[in-house]
Amino acid sequence: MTPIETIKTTTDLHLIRQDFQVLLDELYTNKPESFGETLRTRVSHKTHLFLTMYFQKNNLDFKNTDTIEKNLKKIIDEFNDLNEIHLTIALEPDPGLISDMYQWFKENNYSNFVLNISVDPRVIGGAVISIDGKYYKYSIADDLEASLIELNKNLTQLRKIDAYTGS
Amino acid sequence: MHDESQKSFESYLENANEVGFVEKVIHPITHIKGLPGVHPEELVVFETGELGQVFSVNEDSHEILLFKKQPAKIGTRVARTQKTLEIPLTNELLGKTISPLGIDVQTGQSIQGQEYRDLRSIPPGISERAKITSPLITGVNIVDLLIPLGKGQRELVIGDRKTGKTNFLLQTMLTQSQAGTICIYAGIGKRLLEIKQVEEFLNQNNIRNNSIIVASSASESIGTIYLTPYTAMTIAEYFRDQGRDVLIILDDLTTHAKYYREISLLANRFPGRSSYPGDMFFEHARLLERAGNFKTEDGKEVSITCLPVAETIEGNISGYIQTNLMSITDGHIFFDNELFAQGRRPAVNYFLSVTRVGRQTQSTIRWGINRELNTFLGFLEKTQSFVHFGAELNEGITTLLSMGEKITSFFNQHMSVVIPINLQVLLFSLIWIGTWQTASKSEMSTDMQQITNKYLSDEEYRSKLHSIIDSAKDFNALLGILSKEGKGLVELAKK
Repeated sequence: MTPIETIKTTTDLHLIRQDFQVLLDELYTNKPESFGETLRTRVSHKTHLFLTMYFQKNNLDFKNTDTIEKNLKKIIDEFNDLNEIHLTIALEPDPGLISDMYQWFKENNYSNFVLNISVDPRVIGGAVISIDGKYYKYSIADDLEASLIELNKNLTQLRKIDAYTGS
Repeated sequence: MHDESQKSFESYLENANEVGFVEKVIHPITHIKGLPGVHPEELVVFETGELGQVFSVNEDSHEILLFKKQPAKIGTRVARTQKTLEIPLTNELLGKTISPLGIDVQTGQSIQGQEYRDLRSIPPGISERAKITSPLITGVNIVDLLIPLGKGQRELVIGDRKTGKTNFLLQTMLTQSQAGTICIYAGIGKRLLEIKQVEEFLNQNNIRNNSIIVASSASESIGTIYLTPYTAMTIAEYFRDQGRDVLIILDDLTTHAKYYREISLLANRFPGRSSYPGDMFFEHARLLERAGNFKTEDGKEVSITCLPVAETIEGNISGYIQTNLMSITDGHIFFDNELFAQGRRPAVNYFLSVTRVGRQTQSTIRWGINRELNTFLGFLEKTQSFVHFGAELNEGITTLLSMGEKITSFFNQHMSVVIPINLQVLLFSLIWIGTWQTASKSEMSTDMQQITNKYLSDEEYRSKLHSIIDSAKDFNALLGILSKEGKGLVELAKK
């Protein structure tokens, strides 16, 4: 898993951006050797994990202020290039479901993306997906409604027959 | 209501299979991301029910011109409608005041149209046009006799604010409406009170049923104000296609230009002269070219006469928009601030006004009057400038100045009064032959008022005047007839 793949949703992205701002501000107020301390105590665990993975992967030194600043800004640019995939589902997803959904998109050849998940009970089941401006409705709500209308129609006819036959 | 609009928004999404999201707002320009297949000028609908039109299509995002006062929120979904902005068209528009989006201002409901047309139609080509041959009578003496207009002409009405431009336009609407022409008044970014005053004028003069007002007030969204003249012109084309002559008034295009400039600057377009966008001329030319005199399929002619209005500041007609409009149109009528201050109504400055195609529509008599008046007024102007030196005046000069005073008095006309063309010809001819040479201005005005009242109320008197005018082959012949019968006509009117 690459560092960027630890950021799965727009919520994660928003939090990590806030943490990055804290880190950038810290660079100008504290000594570089305390950057590690800041990373452990003042930002979220996710951000800590992300940056640790990133610096390890790229063999970067936590003590060099210029390197830290340059790379933080580079990562922010990479965040800006992430494509949003909008997902509307019926229930609030747990972290496991989010990972599964993320993995599904990755396996279907989507890369450099982040999920923007919204909850709408009217979807009932399935999902409504928007990718690169394209809209795909895979919700079962319309089918259920059509089935209900058909069922209602049939029941009405049955009642009429019953009334006619007197049973 | 929310469920219905939500349902229709969802159906737009499913039909187009595309969605956009608002990512930046510089109201009324909204930047959206997504909608990969959207076209320029396509209509889009927001999740919250607002409408917008695609202003530009870019690689990363698109600019939408929003037709609502309140800005959209970031993250709002946007769907394509897959059609351009159209307005409903029906004969039931007559007598109504509508917004540029086709909503009845009185009821707040959308008009149900028999037909729907795109606001941006392409002007007809050369082969579909006909030469302008029919006169357009405004009912205002000074214009009909000196600056004649033709049906299908585009004549710019230009002048400072509060110089009587709108009054003149309403007089023209009154005359034309009484002649059966459909009249459309487009109030572009006007105050609500001004639009109400136009409505009241039409109601009081019983011409409401032949008129349509397309109104956008200054308090509405910029996008809606921008659409106003296009909506009015589309309605004009609808009635033209039914074989009706149309008079359309665009009040005023300098305001329209200001709003278009605002939209373009907000959309980050490179500013040109006076910060107007580079396609300013094209916008107005494309609009005004839709007016004209056209041939119908059955060989007849039908016209859209356009009177666009331009406002000047301190009488400066060399401004960017003003000169643009003067070069697009077939002439202009200049309302002079100084003449207005002197009490002249209408304050038309004949020397700074032009009509390029109106003269070919004049009858022989009117052409003769025009020629005589042209020469006379030029000579009068020069003579009046010498009088300032206080030199002694001979009899000829005194007579000239006296005639000048009478003609100036004749051209003064109250805003609620319109005079039929035959009556104008007769009254001027009576002045010209010296009927009131020794009378004072007030005596002349009284006699003229009596003749006018008699003409309007007495069918026999009217027929007599018409037969006199019809029997004269030119202006000189008419003068010959009136030199014998003129005094009799004046006396008859007093009875």
